[in-house]
Amino acid sequence: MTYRFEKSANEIETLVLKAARGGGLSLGLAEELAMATAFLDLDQLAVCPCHTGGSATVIPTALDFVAAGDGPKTVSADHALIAAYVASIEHHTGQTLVWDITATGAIFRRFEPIKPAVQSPKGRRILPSVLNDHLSDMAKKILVPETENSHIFGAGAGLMDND
Amino acid sequence: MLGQSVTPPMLPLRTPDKVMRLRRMGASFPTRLSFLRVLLRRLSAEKAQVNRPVWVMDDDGFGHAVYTVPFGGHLYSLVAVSINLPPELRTDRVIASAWDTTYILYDGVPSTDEIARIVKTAPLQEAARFTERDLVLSRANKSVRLFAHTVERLQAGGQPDSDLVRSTGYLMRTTAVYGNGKFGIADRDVFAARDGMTGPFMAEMLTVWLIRGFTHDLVEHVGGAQLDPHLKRHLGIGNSTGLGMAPFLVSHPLLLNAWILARETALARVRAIETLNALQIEAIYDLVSRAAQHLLEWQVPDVIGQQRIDQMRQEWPQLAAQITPETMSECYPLDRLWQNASEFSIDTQECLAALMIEPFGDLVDDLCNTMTTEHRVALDSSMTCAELQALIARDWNWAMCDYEAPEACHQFWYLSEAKAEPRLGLRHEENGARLESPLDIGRKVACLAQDLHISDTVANLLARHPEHRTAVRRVQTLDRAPYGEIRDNLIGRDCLPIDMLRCKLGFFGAAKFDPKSDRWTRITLCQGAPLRDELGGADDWWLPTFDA
Repeated sequence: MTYRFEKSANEIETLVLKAARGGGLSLGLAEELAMATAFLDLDQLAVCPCHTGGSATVIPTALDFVAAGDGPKTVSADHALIAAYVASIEHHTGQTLVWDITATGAIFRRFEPIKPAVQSPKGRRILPSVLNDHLSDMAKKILVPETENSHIFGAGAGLMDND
Repeated sequence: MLGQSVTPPMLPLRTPDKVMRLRRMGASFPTRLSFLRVLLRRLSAEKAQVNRPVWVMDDDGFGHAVYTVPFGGHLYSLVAVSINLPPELRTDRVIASAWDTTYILYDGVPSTDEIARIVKTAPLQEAARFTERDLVLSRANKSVRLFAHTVERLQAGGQPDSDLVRSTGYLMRTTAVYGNGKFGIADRDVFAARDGMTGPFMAEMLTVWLIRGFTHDLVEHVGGAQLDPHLKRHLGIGNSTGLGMAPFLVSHPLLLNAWILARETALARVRAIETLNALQIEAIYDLVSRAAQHLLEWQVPDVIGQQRIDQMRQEWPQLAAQITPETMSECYPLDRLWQNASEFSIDTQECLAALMIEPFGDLVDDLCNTMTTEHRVALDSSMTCAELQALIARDWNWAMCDYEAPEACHQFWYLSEAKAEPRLGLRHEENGARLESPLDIGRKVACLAQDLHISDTVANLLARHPEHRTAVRRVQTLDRAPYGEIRDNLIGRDCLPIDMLRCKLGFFGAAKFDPKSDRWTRITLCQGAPLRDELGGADDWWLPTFDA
């Protein structure tokens, strides 16, 4: 039987942020990806973006150029992920992105100062088990292994409090 | 025009260079803008009635209870679970796995089945999964000595020793108050737009205040007698706070800016008051006396912490001596008082700032509505690197140092494998710096500054250097939110995380800071706050004193 996890939106974004950092993405790109995840249809995600040089780098970089007036830019990436980034940037900038879907990705043409169609964040939802396990494994890569010294002194607090 | 609000006059704000230094942030005091105060005023305005429909507790105080309160047109319930905890499991650390009491703030009134679910899952805390009806998850351990003593005295027909109540100040300490979707509970967005819940941490504050009432009920139940109301009012709810709270201030610059800006605006408004009336002068006198008594009652084992309190005790009479009928009758009396206070310690100055705001709710309480913000500023990739460089030159001088120097990169923040507990390590002595958490904002901006080419755009820069994306966003954010950045090196040898904790806790409404190390503190919340049956207009509990 396939198990599935219902997670809060914040849990999903936090998990993706940590997984992206675990995959080697810079903090800024990991944050962009986590923000986009709020609009991401997780069931449609074909390839994990939490690694360097992949979609989580290509898409925001292209959007940066287009936002700076240096478009159009063509990207090859997962359609679901592209849609999520577009929804996120429109949500946060209040501008409409003119773009076309292609067979392998999208062409981002320009931003227009028009209020975008409302796209609500997807909120609490079910995370497919394979994706959950994968992201959790990636997220663990930013955790520092436990040592006795860290256990006792790292948090600066005592281990017992019976006063 | 009638009905149009008029912004009160104000003097210039204190500059971020002054306000956003760790040492000053670490001298924060609660103010009337603190979130607990906001919550209690609102509960009071609504004449909220707390009911206790469920109390299933054995003679030793183990079982569960449900409290229900209407707030802003919605019903919320606290489900409290009390178990028999072996002493060897009692720790304030996040790495704990069992607690004396555990709690859920529930959206609505839980059914019998829902109560059964929570009774089963709440004691597991992080090891369980929760639902969208669960708004806040929390736990608290007994202050063993005071709880046992109070039970013993009540059972003997007496009351707890007043000195012990005064010195401890709470029957239990919360060790975590989780909100915003943690472990499957509701995202804040689910209820953030509701009347009464729009302010920061309102659900968490409601939880904490209801827990405080439960601790009173529990000790009275086991003791078999009522606490004296005066003692009961002085029994707040403790809290142990560690490093986990510090990264929040770094990762929420817009929110930090909003909180600080509200407080600074309040201060600037009261400093602009041209003349005080007799009632206002009287209120200032009373608060100065109360603060003096509070300082006398605030005693901590930590040597440095106590030295700071002692200095305040020494300075406070000198400050009070400046508050005379003559000085208070002059023009701009509070600004004069404020200017004169610059000779005192930072702790005394910040206490005075909170005091000056306190009597002027009519002038400042509207600022509570400005303390919630969007999460983050959209990055402006069309900005030129020349513009970016100008912003760095203007706002980030404090961040420019040699980060290769051992003292400048002495510490690193990290998450441990053990329950992802946030910790601090010594870079040159411990492993793990490779995985450090990104709280080194100053260092990131300093690195960014080295890679700027004036003729470039941010889009080009980030295409070449994606590693600078965070730094670019922080620079642009600080331009818009000048109080959004802690203007100190958070990985330097001199960084004391406890300063960050105290700043945030002050905004919660905490007092009686009781530092246990440079990275962990105990505090008291809700001390002197109205009890459940005292909500009728009781807002006068800034820096409460035992003898009041």
